Amino acid sequence: MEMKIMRKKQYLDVLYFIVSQGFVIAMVLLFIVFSIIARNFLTLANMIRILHTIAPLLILATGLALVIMTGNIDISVGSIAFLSSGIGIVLMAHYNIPSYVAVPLIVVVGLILGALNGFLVVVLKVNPLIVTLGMMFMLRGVALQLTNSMVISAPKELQRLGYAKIGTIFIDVIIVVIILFLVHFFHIRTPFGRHIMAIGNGANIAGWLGVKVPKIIFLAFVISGFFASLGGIFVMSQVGAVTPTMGQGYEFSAIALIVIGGISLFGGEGSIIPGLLLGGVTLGVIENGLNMVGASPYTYPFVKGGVIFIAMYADSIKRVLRNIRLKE
Amino acid sequence: MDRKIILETKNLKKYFGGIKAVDGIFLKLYEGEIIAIVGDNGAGKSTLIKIISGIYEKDSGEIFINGEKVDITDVRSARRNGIETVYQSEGILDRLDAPANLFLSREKALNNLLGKFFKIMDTRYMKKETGKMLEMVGIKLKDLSSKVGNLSGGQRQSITVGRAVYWGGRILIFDEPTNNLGLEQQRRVIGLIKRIRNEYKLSIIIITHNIAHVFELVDRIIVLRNGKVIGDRIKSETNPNEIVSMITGWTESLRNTNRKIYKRRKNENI
Amino acid sequence: MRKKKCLANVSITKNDKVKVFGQARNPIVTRYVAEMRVVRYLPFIVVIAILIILGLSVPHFFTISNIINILTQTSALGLMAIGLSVVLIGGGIDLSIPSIMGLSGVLGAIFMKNGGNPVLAGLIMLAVCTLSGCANGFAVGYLKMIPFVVTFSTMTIYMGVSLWLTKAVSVGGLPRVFIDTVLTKIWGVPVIVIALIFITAVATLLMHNSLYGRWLYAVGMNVEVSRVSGIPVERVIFSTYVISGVFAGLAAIITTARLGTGAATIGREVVVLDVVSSAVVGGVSIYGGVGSALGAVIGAITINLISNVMNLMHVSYYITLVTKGFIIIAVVALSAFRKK
Repeated sequence: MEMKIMRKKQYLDVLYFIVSQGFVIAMVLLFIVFSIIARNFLTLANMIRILHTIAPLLILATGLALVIMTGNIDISVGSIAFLSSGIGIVLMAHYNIPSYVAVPLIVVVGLILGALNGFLVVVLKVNPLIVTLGMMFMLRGVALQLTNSMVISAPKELQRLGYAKIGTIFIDVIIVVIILFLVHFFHIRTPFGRHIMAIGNGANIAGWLGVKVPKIIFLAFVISGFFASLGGIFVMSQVGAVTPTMGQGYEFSAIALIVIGGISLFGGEGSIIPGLLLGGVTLGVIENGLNMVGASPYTYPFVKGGVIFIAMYADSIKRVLRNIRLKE
Repeated sequence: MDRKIILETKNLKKYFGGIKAVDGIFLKLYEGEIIAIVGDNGAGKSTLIKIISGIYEKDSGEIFINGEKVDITDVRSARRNGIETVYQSEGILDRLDAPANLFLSREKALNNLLGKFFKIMDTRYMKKETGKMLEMVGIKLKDLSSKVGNLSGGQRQSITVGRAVYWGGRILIFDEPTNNLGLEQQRRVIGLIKRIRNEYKLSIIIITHNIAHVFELVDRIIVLRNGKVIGDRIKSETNPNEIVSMITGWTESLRNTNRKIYKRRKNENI
Repeated sequence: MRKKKCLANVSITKNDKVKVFGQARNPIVTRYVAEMRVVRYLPFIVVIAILIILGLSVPHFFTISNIINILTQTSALGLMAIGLSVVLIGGGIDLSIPSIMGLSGVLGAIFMKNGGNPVLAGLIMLAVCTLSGCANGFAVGYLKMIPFVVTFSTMTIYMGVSLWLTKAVSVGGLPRVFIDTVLTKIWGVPVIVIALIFITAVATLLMHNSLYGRWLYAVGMNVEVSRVSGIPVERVIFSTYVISGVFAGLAAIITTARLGTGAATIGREVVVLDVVSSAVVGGVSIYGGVGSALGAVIGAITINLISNVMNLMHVSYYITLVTKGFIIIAVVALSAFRKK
């Protein structure tokens, strides 16, 4: 009888391992597949290009990841990026405000918008999905009204940021990596990071144990707004302008990135490094690979959706497995 | 007998809208004793405990620690007064490891600039202290960074107990400590509670439904009903049947026994 | 203290304190505010205000023919709102309704453009939407995935596919038979409106009186208790998404016929906002277990009227977005506040 239990437990453990390391396996597979199909895939230049393309989204996803780890959600990040950059670019293009003033202002706007989300969720206790859904549309509407649905070009210095390099590596890649390591460090080495995971594990229990739940959730939303606007700045610099469709679908891609990276949408689980970083790289690889094989851009959402599905399925299986384990 | 009263509540009240959860509770806890608070569901045990441990704020009444009146407004102020609570199996977060659970909301920061400004945690210290705490409660863990969800129920309960003891609580409150445990693990926990009371001279309040454990473990039994104390018995003066009938409702004979006991106590000037 | 404030035989006195926004407040005052005529009847006041504005600005507003007009306009939104409310009451959410409506409309239009039978096209639209419902329902009900993420993903996929199919150009050339059949009138009343009224009545009655309806509300209120009571929770949840798919299909038929072409834009983002707003304004709770089909349709009519008012006031599309986003947050915030 004991042997049966042992074998079953081993079987569960193996399954659990496969499921949790799934994306690493998947990424390796992807690498192999794409290198076979497209000759230029496995070059250094291409690798750098992958990181460069995914950098803005990865920055944006960092804040969202923290919110998700508390067990909440923020789908307004795309619109926050759009509005904050929109305000900045209008100031720069139409009012000749210098970029070294406008860019910090963009970040401040992001902080304020994040705080607004936080206020609605924590103080008024409105469901985060509804808050950020409503905000997604409200902020987009304001931004469209502000930019009059026009494409506004960014000033030269900002555009240069988009393709500046140190040696062969793009500046934004360096910045992204630095940011990820910093956030990861704060995640595992400060009480704040611990408390975020605690809240994701059980907000009420964490509250009983002395964690200041409302304050931390509020801060998480503020940080999400911060990184959203920061990511928006990098999008703006890479594209060279603010376009009317900016921000559309960012939240979807960001969630895909987060889920692939092993961060559970139920909250309380996941890591920035290696999780979020690998998630970003994987998504970048997928998009770059699709590009290389000449797939139509219309298939991107299809593929991304499929990827999210698989990653989420794995997440759900993990949860079920964990519950089974606990029962034993 | 001149024992020190370590915790006392006078006329403690807590209403939720019109529901009188705690309706004038007078409670005394002597230093070094273990008392059980029993009562049916809705009697007010949970609410009382949450007031004392700072999760709820009392509406009126007074709380005295060591004879001095204190103001318990939140969990932190309760802890400052030496009150630590051990919850059921829910008092622990499964996907965090033992040190994280032990130090939750009381994390130790590094002594340098990194710690003071950025609040970077001293994980080495916390790990070491966790080792000490585990020794205190008699658990051996191979890997301190494994998630506590992988441990047995008894081990997890021991960690929550250890947490309360480690933080220097003088008054420990156990909320249904043997509820979700198997028999062997229940025995372990009971043994643990006895040991820590003796070793660390703690005063302990236990909320439970398990009358057998009550009679095995505690010195005094307090029965709550509808938010009031209706019975306060030293273990030797009562028996399980009496306790159960008090929990479920008054009987005439009980009232008489009460009168006799109070008279006797008055005479002995306790 | 009014005697009316007694609930469940307990009484509230002035000295009780209730925590609002972290500070102790006199519950009498908070209650008083929440029950003050103005706040309590705010939704109705808003609706009446809208009706007055419209009544004054639009000639012959309160005529039968205009009412029929409004109902015709709202029909697709109303049906989608009913479908969504079924999912919401069951405790989930379905963001993919408008986009599957768009995709199926496009597919049906392409089919008809290439000489397909209009009746068959309608069936195709229904089938595609129902299939989507099955996919969503399976993922949420049986695979236990998070409803928001599942339907958010399918929403994005469907939008992507419809844009890819149409290359953002609408599919013209729909046979007149199709358009005319859908838009026929019986005694001057469009079939669409009759269908809307009929379906709303049936849905509301079924949800409140049938076994399925009972199960639905139970699952939305407490999944574990429902499961333990023997309700086949997974099957119920699965069915809610299938139902919302069916309603999306009906909406696809109506919208495509009214538009005259197959366009991917009928499923664009702002429609999601409208559908969710309709349900929320109509009293359906985001958390499940509360609401009715009738409420959802009334909510849809309200949202439609609001759109009309903003049109009349020549408000830009963008400000409309802002207003609608604000409404949805405000409504949910108010209902959360009232619960206290």
